[in-house]
Amino acid sequence: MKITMIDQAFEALKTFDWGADRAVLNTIDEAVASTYNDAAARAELEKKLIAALDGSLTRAGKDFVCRILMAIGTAASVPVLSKLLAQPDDAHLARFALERIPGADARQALLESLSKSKGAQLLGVIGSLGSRLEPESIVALAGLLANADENVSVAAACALGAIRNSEAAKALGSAKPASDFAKMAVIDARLACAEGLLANGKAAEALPIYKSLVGDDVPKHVKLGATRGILACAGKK
Amino acid sequence: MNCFRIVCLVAALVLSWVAVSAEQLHAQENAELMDLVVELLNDDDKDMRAVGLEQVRTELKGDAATRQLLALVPKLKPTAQAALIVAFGDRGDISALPALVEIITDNSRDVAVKAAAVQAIGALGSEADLPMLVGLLSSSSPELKAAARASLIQLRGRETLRAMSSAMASAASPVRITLMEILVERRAVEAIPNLLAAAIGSDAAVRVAAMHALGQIGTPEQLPGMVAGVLKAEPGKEREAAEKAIMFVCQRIEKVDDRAAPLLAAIEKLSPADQLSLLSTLGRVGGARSLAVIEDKISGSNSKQHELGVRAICNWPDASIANRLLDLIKSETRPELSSMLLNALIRVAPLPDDRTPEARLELLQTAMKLCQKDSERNLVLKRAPAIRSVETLRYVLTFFEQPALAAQAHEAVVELAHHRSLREPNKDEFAAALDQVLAASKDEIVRDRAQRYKNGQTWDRKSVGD
Repeated sequence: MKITMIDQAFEALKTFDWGADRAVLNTIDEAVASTYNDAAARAELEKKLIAALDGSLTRAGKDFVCRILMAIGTAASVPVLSKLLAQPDDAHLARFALERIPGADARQALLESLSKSKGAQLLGVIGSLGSRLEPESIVALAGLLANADENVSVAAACALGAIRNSEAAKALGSAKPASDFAKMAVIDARLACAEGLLANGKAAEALPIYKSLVGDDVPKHVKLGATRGILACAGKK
Repeated sequence: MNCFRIVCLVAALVLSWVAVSAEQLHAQENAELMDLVVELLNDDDKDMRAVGLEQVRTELKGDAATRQLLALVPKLKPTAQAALIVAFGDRGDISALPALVEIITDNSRDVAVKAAAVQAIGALGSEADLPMLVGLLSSSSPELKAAARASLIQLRGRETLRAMSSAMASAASPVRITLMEILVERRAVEAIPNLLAAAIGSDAAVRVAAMHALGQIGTPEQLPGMVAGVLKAEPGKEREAAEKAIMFVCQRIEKVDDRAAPLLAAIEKLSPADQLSLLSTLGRVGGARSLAVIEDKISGSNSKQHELGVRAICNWPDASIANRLLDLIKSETRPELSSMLLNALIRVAPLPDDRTPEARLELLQTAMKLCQKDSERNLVLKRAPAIRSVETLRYVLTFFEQPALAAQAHEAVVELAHHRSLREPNKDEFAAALDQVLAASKDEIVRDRAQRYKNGQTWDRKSVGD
């Protein structure tokens, strides 16, 4: 009986669009909750979602599925999401899920799309890699810091600032951004890295970053932030 | 065995070396931190100094740091000195106290620096510092006086309050008054006996301050003493203020009908003449029992007592007395008392209570009809804006054509328009009224206000007379 209701809901999903009664999809939402701690049932549900996404759905339907995969998706969902990631109009829907699906497959899908994406789509992929906070993305992101497109180098700096570890700090420290806007983004990201290091008990690594940001050539707010950082590092080495 | 001893000795030496090294490292780190803080405190940029001060307040802990920072004070610029000294207060390290006292007593110091030290003592000091702070209340420097006042408000401990109350009892007049204000701000009930004594003293300014203080922190138990204060007060403003102090105490009694009881109990013990003197105070407190006493005097054959009764009922605190006032206005034969009753009606009619704005306005309109002089009619127009309704606006507009009342009516319109919550829902009506004010008023302030409200701007009441 339950399977029938889910099948009905997936059937309704095929034509679901924004503005229609969303209650027809409630069974799928309920299935997400009821399959908690039931790996087999969860995998079955994921399979149905993948099949739906691989079929013909409206944008609202894709949005619905991606938001669910964001919560329950696994490596099994990555291929279908990768396809979606390649489509400029739907790429951000795929990123909802890919940002949060744990494991190397999702990361790899995002890393591979770096070279295939451009414009806002590329900026989104960079942001998603930053949100995953994985050190494995640092090399690829660092390679974008000197990108001719100012927006790309700023996005890469922000992503590295989100990762906030020693490697990200090193990559940012040796960056040579072209524009002032990108330089400021790198400085902000370096401060973020220093804060991350300090919070993780690595004051000795955070201190040189802070010290490099108190010169007269940096804006006052950066100098204030870095000075506070130096003071916070004192005694925590 | 010897071998074991040697191993133990080596281990002890290593451990002590490690401990000493850790201590040295810690000292070195602290020294680095201190150097940076010193650099920041000397920075020309106030935001950088603020970062340093934050460290003084919260991070650099301990007596040793306090000593280092105190030694730093004379080396800083006066502004930085003052800021650092205030930060000592926030550190909460009392070991800084002797140095702060030294700064205060050093006449060569900048007054802002001394004031900062006085302020810091408020946070760190105790009753032992009270005499010095009280002494500073009579300083010729306004900065030191203000800092001492702030410090005395902050100084900790109930003992401090008792000591401050004793100091208040014996201080000279201006200091005594300041101490009363401080004690009130601290809600120091310990001071009440001394305040009651001051309320019947020979210095009028002290009496006024004491009664004011009692009005703020007194309770019904103090009413017998406060009644003595009213009797001691000079007729006029002092007496009026003393009566109001009693009114404030009585108003803090929750049940309205119980408010007069402790005052009546206090009055009963007085001579008949003093009881009569306190009728006016009873009127201010209100309530059924007060009214019974006052009515007894009004209806009596003694004209003096009748007058005192009328004066008392005119002090009534709310509009519940309105109908009785109307009756008395009609029956009163003495014009000066009749006028007084009418003024009382005009005062209470618009007072906010559970009546509708329409009912309040109707009562005020009734009062207007009873007016015989333009001064009384102008008083009605002055009170009208207390009823914030569009009907009040329409009512005051009807006086625009009467030369003797127009100016007050213009003012009433702008006063009503001042309240955005009334003006906005009736925008068109107010715009038309304000246009009339702009066309007719000769008062610059009224015109300025009218223009501002028309433009949807506000008007700062405090700016008048600045």
